[in-house]
Amino acid sequence: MEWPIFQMPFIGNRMLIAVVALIHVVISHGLAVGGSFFIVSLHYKSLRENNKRLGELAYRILRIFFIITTSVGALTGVGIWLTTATVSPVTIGSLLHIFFWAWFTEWIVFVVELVLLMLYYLGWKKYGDATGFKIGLFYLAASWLTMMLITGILGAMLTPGKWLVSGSFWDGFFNPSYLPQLVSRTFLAALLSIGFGLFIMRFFKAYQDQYPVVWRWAGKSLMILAPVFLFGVLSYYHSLPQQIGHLIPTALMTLKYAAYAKISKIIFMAIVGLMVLFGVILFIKQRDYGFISFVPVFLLIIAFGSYERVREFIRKPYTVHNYLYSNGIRVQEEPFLNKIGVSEFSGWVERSATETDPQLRLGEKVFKMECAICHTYSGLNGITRKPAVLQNAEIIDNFLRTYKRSHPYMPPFIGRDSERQALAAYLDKIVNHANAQPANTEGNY
Amino acid sequence: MDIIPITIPLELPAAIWFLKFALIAFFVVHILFINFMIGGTFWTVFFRMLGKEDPFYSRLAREMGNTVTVNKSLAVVIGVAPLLAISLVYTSFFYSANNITAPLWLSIIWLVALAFVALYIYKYSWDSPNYSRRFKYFWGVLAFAIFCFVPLIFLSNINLMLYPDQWKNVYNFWQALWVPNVIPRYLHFMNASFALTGFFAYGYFHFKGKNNKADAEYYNRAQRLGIKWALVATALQLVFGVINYGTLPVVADSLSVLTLIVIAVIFAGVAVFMLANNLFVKDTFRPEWVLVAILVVVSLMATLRHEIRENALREPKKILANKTELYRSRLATFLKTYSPTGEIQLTGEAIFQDVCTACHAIDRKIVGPSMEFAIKKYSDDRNGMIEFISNPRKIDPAFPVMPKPPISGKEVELVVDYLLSLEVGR
Amino acid sequence: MSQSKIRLVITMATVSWIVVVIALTFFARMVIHRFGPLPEQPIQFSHTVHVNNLNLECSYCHPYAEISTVATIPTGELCLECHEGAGIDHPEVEKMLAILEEQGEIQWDRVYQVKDHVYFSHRVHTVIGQIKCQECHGPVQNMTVAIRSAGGSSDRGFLEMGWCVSCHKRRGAPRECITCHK
Repeated sequence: MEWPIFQMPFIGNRMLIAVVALIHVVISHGLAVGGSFFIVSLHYKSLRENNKRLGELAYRILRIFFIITTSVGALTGVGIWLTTATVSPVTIGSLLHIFFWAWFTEWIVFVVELVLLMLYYLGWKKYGDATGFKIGLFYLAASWLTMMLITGILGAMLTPGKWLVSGSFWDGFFNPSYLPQLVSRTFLAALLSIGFGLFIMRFFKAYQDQYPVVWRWAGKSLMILAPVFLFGVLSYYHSLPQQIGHLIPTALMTLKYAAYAKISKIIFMAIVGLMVLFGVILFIKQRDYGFISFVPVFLLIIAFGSYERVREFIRKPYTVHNYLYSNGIRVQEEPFLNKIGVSEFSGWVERSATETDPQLRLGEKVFKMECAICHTYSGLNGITRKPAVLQNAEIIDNFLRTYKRSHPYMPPFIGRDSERQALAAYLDKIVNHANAQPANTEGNY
Repeated sequence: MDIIPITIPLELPAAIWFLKFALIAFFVVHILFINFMIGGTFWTVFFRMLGKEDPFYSRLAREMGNTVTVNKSLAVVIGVAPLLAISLVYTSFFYSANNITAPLWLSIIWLVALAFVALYIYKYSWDSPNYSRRFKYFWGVLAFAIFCFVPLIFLSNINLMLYPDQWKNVYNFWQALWVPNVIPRYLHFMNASFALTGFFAYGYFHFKGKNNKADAEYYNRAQRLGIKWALVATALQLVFGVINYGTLPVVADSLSVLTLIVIAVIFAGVAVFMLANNLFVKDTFRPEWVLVAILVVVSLMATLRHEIRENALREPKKILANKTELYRSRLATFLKTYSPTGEIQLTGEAIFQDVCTACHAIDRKIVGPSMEFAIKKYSDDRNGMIEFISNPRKIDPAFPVMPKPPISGKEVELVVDYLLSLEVGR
Repeated sequence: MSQSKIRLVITMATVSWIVVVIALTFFARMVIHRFGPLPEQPIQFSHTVHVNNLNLECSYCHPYAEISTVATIPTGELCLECHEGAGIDHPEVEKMLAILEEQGEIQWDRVYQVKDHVYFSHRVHTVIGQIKCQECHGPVQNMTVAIRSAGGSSDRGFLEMGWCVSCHKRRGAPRECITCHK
């Protein structure tokens, strides 16, 4: 409540992060980690079969991978830092205090990975076949190492419960879902890279003679990789009950999540089935069917996006379990703030508040401090789109008092009674009396 | 300055000296690559235009473009380390400034990504007969234009962080630009980019030329061009550097800042002297020496910026520490009385110890009278004592007036009952 | 020109460049400090301790802020009301007592001032305008010695008119010349 508030209009803060993160995740999985596998495999094949043209084709595909990973891929990686820290400085600030060394190590591996990528791609002709291929192998290893580290850090962020108790980072790092996650992410990366690789290959018409070679290899790989990926995903689901038991105390959440898990499990099986089928066709027919062939890959990206969403969702209402609520209030301080009020220390929202009526102004400040991290006004997850719950001040006030049970994934209302009533009055105004009286924007002093 | 956010109550993950050292050291590496990236992009576009007349420039532009591909990627990835360090060392200040410039601060991601893609299009369309000249140049110019704009966002942000007294007047990036020192600092930085790119070209073409005796003429000319750029731009820092320093807010200045500037100027002079010698007389000074000298200058500049940060934030940090302390002590006091099942009422004695003993003792006068005196006075007037503690007035001219204590209602009663129950003074 | 002559020219040019830059740097430093040195107090008086810890009101020590044009810095006499007994083993209090003993009064360095041709009344602002002290003086309760935290961009010297006017504008206070200049 002490920290500056950022409100992304229309799409909201969570979607803003999701956009940056998803772009980064698809590129880092598909084009960096998976990409290194795809290129190095073709490189190996070209050396073994003494097929120079296949090597040249691989080099050209690598160029596209290189361009995308070192521009959009790298920048969205930094972008996750900038965006999340802007949306919730206290969360990222706290996580940095806890996980600094993990991220520092990750950064070192990143630098190594980038250097190897540049040596591999920019030195492709210079270093010749033997040395070049060796560099490629190192690049493959380094980029997989980044994934190995990040999977652990993500896990540690989701289950810092053990960190809170034992103070040992490794308890969170090697949490029960670590291995299944690593396996599924690794094979997902490989699958995505085959999709992207085949797609990009079609732009190099000069190498059409090599297409069948690649298709045959890709088909074979898909048939092997896709089932292993499915195995990884299923064992991830299998490891979840322990996770959920640890993470989500409320039965309701578990129920919602379990239902979702069941559906998504079936969806994943269907997609993997399609991929195997695609692999069989590629292997036997040695041709693809234009853009239709890439449907399974797109579906996989979408399914993966929602998988990441769920993974993040099970953190709620915390960003650091049992330590920090997603709106940046420390759990320990909840009763204290209930007593002194959240607006006691609230310079930033005071600075930007626009309402002039004292009660509405207080409500506006409370809204910005406690709700705005997830809720926009009228955009995604917008507060004005929930008139059914927010009918009038009295009903809203009642909701604010009780939603802790009905909506356990939202952080509870924290603050004095007067602040809760002010928030109710403010919500009533913006939801039900939006045009009654425009806020005086001059009055922000 | 009352809006500086309270410090996060977690231990720093590393010693503060380590984080500050990492911040300065990795920043130096980061900013060098940034300088090479900006200057290199200018070279690859500018000299390509000159290349119409002279194939030397054409080749130079292309080779410089190739270095940009590497330098720009290293610049970004190495920048993450100082970003993490500054976020930890100056959390409350850095994140606050980010918030004020937020839309443009976040646009850095997309602007730089666009510039990088533009650079790739520029590079890979170089020899293609399919595109017009205008198309090819457009992407290079676009990348350079973005590179000229993005430092403004960084500088306005990093400068705003130092002056929390401005946070109440500054609501966005455009206003942050006019906080003192931003524009002069920007000009100084951009000129430094050109100077350092000159040094880079000198070193790069020297070491490349060593393994390439056949092309000695080309590499020699390229080196000399680097020297000229380094000389001219470094000499010009006379203007930009002085303006930059002269517009520094007084709170940020100190003798250490002055000292670092003087040392840096001397080292810059040494580098310039060696370069001029190599250019106009003969190659007597090894390029390694020149590069070490200029590296020392850049390191001194980064240390200087750190000194300025520490100076400007000295008082704001104290204010923040006091504010944090206030919050934490109130929280700690509260947690003493709190349990999940309900509030624990402190005893009258505990409240007396916490609140009153700064000025009162039972058996002697400190600032206020002894409690023996007060108990005697109020022994038959419980309500009178409660009334006085709740709203103290000046009664005895021998004592200063008592400030209103931070307790109320039930707590006051508990203190009074505790005092009146004491077997003293009766 | 012979090589040695060129070398001489280069040496002289470099040396004079260094000299000029350093000279200009010293000049720039004079520009930075054109308003004189930053305030420096004889004693590290802590506002935090007195306000946050001891709960004193601002008007306890600056009573004239609510009844007069000037807020005034309290005299040593007021300090002694409490510090004859309180905190006498604290080094800064000891220092204060010694100064009072030797010189009779403490020479505080003034942090805020307005020019002579400005008529400014604290009472009008605090009582009639109902403006909190912190609006102009910053979070003094969290400072040790007070530092300038408002008044425009010149860190030292006089409060700037632009700063006064912007607040008068914001609050709808009169902005005629005669309001402040008599």
